[in-house]
Amino acid sequence: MKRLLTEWTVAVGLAWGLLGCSHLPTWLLKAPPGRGDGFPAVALEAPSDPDARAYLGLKPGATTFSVQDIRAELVIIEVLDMYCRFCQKDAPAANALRQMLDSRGVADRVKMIGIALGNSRFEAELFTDRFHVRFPVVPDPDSTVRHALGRVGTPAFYAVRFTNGAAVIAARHNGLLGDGAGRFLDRALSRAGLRP
Amino acid sequence: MKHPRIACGVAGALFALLLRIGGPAATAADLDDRVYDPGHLKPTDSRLRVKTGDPAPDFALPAIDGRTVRLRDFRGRKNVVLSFVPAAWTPVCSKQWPGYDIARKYFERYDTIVLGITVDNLPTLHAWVREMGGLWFPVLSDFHPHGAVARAYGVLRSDGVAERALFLIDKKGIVRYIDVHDINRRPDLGVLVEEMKKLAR
Repeated sequence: MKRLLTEWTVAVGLAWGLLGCSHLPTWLLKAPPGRGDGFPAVALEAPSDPDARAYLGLKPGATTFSVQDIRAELVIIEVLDMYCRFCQKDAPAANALRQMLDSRGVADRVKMIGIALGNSRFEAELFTDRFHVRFPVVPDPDSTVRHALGRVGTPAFYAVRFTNGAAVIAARHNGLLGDGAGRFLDRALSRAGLRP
Repeated sequence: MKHPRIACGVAGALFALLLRIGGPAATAADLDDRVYDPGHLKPTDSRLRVKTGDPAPDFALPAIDGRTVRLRDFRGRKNVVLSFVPAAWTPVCSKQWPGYDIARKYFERYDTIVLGITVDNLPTLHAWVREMGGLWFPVLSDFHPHGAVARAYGVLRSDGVAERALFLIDKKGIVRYIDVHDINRRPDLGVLVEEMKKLAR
């Protein structure tokens, strides 16, 4: 009996630790998912711009969507924050990554979005406008993606492929892409089994 | 051991904590990783001494570029946003002004200057703003006498730092908008831009 109680107490302690908790400081959040893990299905505000909606393949009238709803074989997600100096600095690299989808002939199969953590629609649009971002950037004002992902910093890049309806992370890059956009894309395409 | 169950529970919790903080850092690039995180704070901790419609208390504060900035110098020339932030080298504050930095065109469109104010001393602010990569607007030190300007506006907290607060002052020197924000969160820039837009009408 005593052993059972001890094991139960340990299990409760473990469960407390493993469950997500939005009130904890960043350094106490769970480690973010990596290659092979699922990408969380978080409801995001659907863009109002018709071109952006068409690019993502969203259903008419949809006010929210998740990454799982995007019509593509692979989705590259930049997790960013308009206020983050490093995201601002890395905006040209993210744009270059988007350009590479065109130049490598995979733009119809691979889509790209930005998720702006803690940003309002105005702030996400400001970032898009200021840095001439060529992919939809959607606001996540309550940072629900951070709460779902865990201890993710900004910028962070995820390549998510769809296997039997599940969104699985094929590649992840934390921090500035810099001049590594091509290498990240190569890795993502290769792991997703997509060849230009 | 008198209370083995409690001890095991604590051990389990500590182990779980290790699981949480183990693993690679989220990103080395994020300034959040390099600044002091005070944790969750009481959202506000002061009592305002001005209200909308009041004349804004004048002040003169040293800026990190060596100038002394006086509020009255903007009278008749520019609207002014006073952006008080609690402290240099803390997570939320370290991003708020870089956001205003890329929003310069909105402030200029509505003929508004931002004055960034903290109670930190000049050398600290100098190093912090350099780490941000520089800012287009003046950053002022309300260090000595400590927090005097924050106190005059009623946004000096009991622990000696300023609130995360915005005051929009028109060209006549009248306070037109106040947002003493939850210190743990950034105010939405879109709301401030809407308030500036109202002054332009």
